[in-house]
Amino acid sequence: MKFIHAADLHLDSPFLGLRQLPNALWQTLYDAPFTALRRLVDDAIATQVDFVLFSGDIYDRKERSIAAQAFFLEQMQRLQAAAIPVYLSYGNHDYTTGSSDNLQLPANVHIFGNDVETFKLTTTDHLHVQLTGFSYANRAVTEDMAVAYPEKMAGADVAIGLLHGAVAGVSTEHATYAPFTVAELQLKQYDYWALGHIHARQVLHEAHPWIIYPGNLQGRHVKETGAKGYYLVTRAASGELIPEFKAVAPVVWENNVVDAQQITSSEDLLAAIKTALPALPESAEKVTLTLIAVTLKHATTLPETVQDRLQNGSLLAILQRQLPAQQMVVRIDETADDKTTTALTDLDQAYWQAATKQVFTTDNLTRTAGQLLAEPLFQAALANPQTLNNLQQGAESLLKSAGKGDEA
Amino acid sequence: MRITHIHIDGFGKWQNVDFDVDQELQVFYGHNEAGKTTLHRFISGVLFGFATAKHPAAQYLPKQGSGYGGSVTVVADNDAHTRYRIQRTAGKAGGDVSVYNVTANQPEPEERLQQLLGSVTETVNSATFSFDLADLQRLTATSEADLMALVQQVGAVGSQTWLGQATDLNAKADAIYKPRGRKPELNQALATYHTLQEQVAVAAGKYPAFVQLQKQIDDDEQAQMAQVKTIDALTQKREQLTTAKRLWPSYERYRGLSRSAPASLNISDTDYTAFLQLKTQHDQLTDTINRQNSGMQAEATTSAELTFYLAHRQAFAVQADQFASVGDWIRTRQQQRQQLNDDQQEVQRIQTQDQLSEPWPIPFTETEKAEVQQLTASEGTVTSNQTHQWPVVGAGGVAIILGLLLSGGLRWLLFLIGIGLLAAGWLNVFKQPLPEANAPQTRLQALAKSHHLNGIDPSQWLGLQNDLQRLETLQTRQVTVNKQIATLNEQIAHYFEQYAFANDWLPLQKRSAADALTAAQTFEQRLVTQAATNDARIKQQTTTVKNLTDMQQQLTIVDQKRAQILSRYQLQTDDQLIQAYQTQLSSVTKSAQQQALGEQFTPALQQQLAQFNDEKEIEQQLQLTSERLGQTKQAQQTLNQQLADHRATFKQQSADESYLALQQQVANQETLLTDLLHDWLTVSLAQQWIHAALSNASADRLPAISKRAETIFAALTLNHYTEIKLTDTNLFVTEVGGQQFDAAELSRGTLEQLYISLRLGFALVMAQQTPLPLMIDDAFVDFDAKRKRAMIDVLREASTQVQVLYFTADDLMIGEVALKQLENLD
Repeated sequence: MKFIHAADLHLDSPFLGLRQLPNALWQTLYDAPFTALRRLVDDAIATQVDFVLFSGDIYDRKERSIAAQAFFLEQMQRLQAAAIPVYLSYGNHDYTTGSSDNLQLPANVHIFGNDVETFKLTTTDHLHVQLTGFSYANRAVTEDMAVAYPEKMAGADVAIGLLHGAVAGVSTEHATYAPFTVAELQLKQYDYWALGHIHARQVLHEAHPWIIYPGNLQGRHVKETGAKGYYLVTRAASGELIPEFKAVAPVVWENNVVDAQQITSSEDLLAAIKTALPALPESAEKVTLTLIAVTLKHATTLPETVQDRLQNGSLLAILQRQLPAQQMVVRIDETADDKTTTALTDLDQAYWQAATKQVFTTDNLTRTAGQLLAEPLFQAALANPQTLNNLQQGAESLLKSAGKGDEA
Repeated sequence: MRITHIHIDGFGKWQNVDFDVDQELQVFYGHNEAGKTTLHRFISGVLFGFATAKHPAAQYLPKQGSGYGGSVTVVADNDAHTRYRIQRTAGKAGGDVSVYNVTANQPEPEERLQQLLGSVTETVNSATFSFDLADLQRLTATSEADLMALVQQVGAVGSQTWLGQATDLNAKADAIYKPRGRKPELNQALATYHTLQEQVAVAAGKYPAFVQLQKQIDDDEQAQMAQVKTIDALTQKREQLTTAKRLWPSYERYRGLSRSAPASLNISDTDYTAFLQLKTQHDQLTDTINRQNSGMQAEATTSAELTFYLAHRQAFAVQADQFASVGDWIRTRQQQRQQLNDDQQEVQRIQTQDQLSEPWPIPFTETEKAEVQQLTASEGTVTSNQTHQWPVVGAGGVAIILGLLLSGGLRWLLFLIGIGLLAAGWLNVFKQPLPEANAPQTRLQALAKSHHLNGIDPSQWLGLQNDLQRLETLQTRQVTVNKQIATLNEQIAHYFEQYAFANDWLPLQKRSAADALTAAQTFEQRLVTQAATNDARIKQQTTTVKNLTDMQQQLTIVDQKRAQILSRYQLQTDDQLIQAYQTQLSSVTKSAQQQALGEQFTPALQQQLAQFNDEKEIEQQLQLTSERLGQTKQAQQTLNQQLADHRATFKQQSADESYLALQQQVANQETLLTDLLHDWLTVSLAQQWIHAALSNASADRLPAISKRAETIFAALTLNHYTEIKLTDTNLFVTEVGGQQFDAAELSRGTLEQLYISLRLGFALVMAQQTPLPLMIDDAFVDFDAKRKRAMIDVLREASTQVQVLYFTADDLMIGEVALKQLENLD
């Protein structure tokens, strides 16, 4: 018996954090999530898996992208033609109450209902598989859904739970929906927990049961770095399940830190960034494009002209023109330098610190942002608890360059 | 910390010069380009580090080859008034610095410098303890509002710089975003974003229609399948109707046949077949009987001879039984006749040979022989018996010759007998011992007499004995044979006499016995055969007759059965039955036709056809069905086209990545906006931060500052204003007359003076915390003479607390200070 476990396809959500990129690359980006899914389906058919699991967030409900849903439909039809059943639970992004305002998927796709539901399947090698899961009925499911999962049933050779949610009490950048504990999952006596929701690949528990987040199929922003793909799970003759990660994402994100200290010209900066780039992947077949976010340390030490060119993006444009098509720096950010106060603030440290407490508050932020907060995008951006800190660091950088007193 | 001495090795225009510095007030006088600013920069450079290569103009590298740098000697503010020499030469990052304890005459660690400077950096120094013309000139260029802010926030370190920075930040922030602006980047980006969002909304609005399209395609596919079924059904119905129309005439005929009900089938096929078989049997039997009867009559004739024979069959049989015996008799008689003949010849031959005559001598007995022998032996006469053997040999020769003359088996018999006789005779001739001679004469005579031997010599007697004996034997045999022949003759004659009854058919008289026998045998043989044939025929006839009887019986039974069949159907004759059956057959054929027609008309078809009253009705329905079929096909075509269109649209919309592109644009725009928001907030908050920090510092320090500033302000306003007062938010000044003014109400000139007062006040307040000298670079050059003097007084007074270095090109200053406090750079 073999099956594929994937989650968080987010077929229709765009790549985030991009501002400028050579035009030729956009097409690669549009195709990337599709390519990743097509590769998964190719593999499913080629390796003749018994079934495919999708643990939520196949697409974003709010996006309502025709191309993405039609593509998913087409891929499901391919699996149908190969007689491969699909078990699918919707997550917080593609939640559904089963209403008919979505595309109808072919009959081989079994969709879990809003209540915990169990499907049974007998594989070609006569194994009885118990598949339990649920689909989100709305965006936020805050109760522990694992409670309602039945224990492994008598006569089931393999029991699998599909669960789109997060470990209770662990804060991530994803909202904690359908919270569960590993211990709780273990109690169900399942063989495999096919998790979704967290985009970083991770194994929460090894064997008896396996509890696995496969991560998303295609990284969509700079925080979703590295190879992305799905798990191919094979049942050995001994009955043990052997999960194996298979990378399929054609576009991969990387982070690169470059120290700008001692750099005095744009040319040197570009050279330093290029030197620090990771080597091109040898097997270029899977990864067709690496998107790299460069972070500059000690950017404040750069000459002002260079900083200006960084600010207005001209340096990035030049860099992008110089890079090969498989490797693209998408943005250059500056980190706040070491948290030392400026010379000017030394004498008045108490006053500056007091000012910090006056200025960098949510209230003041709200007041300052004013009508900008009417924009949901900004609301969301400012709702991030990190924002204040980031802004303060940015302000410190600014003041530090002001405090250098070069103009004296 | 107060500076006491300056030594320059090389810095800008200065080379290898020394300046002693007054610990309270030191004025450096010189015209423009005299090197005032260079000297000022040198002092800062030694204390805080020379400018780096990034700012070459500020480095003041000496044009000539002398060493870069120099030293500043200071006296510490500690109780011991320790003197240090701070030396700075060319080197990395602001130059190499060393500190030497002049008092203790020993080098000090570098950290000593930081200790001496407190925590003041060059920036803080220049912001707090330096004034130059540029500062004040900048002041004049500052907007009133900013000037006001300066006044209010003078209480912080570097507040002027900070405020300038804040202003810059404000400009930056405004360049990014203005709440009601249109041009700033964020405003523009937001507008674009909204446009994109509208586009996305429009594009997303297509989604329900797309889902609807999928449903429509599903529905169309269902409808298409239904149509195919309808078309199939209609096509089938049309075919049925066409068939119905074609079959209608046949159907009508069929219905006609159905109405004329067929005759009841009363003669069963079994019966008829049996009847035909019986009829055939009857004919065959009759025929056979007739034929056999006539055959028997034809064979009834028999020959007269056979009839006679059969009548005397017993008599003939008795005769035939003796054929063998009679044959034997005839042959025996023949042999005996031959014997007689032979014996007679032998007798004559012996008599001739022995010259015997009658009475024929009689042979001796054995006793007589022995006696004669004795008698003749005395006479000595031996006679040979040899000659008596020759006739035997002769008989053999005759037999052989006869044998050679005769033919067949007898020839060989005679031949063998001859050879035997020859051999026997031969042996007798040569091997018989010679008889002995006997004598007395008398006796001889007696004997001669009794044996008729007179005339024969007694010596020959014995020799004759064999012949005589032979002769006697032959004579005896002649008598016997003759008797036998007579018997045989009688027997043979008697036998043939028995045939006398058949004389008419078998005449045997005047035939030799052998011929007669042969004739009798031939006759017997022929007729026995004929009789046997006759017997067989008679037997055959008997069988035939029996057969005929059987057949007659069979015929009776067959005829009875046939009659039964006929009677079963109340018929009299065969022909009636055959006729009836033929009639019946034809009616069966009719029904077969109907059946054949009926086969065309399956029950379903019949049922179907039965719906119609006439052909016209079928035609009407046919037309109707054809029309409906045409319409449905038309509809199908339309639906197919529609479905094809929908599928094409579906496919095209599925493949349309413009929405993805649009989404990506929105995402990019969001990135841009978020970045801009971040930038804007950063500068905005940084600006707020500056103001907040400055306000905090000012609010805290202003009471002390204003106290110091009051004197200065009074001096600068020539005692027009006497008091500076601070509230939380506002700054007030009080006129000599007691009239209070909000700083905002002051004229620009007065406001500048207020700022300078506060700024100096601030420096003085700060100087109490930090030990750096106040360096003023021609700051008051634009003041009138009164105010300049007033300022000198202020500075002189201040110099008691803090060392003041004053750089000026103003001649007025020369007379205002003591000589030791003046350094003329010209």
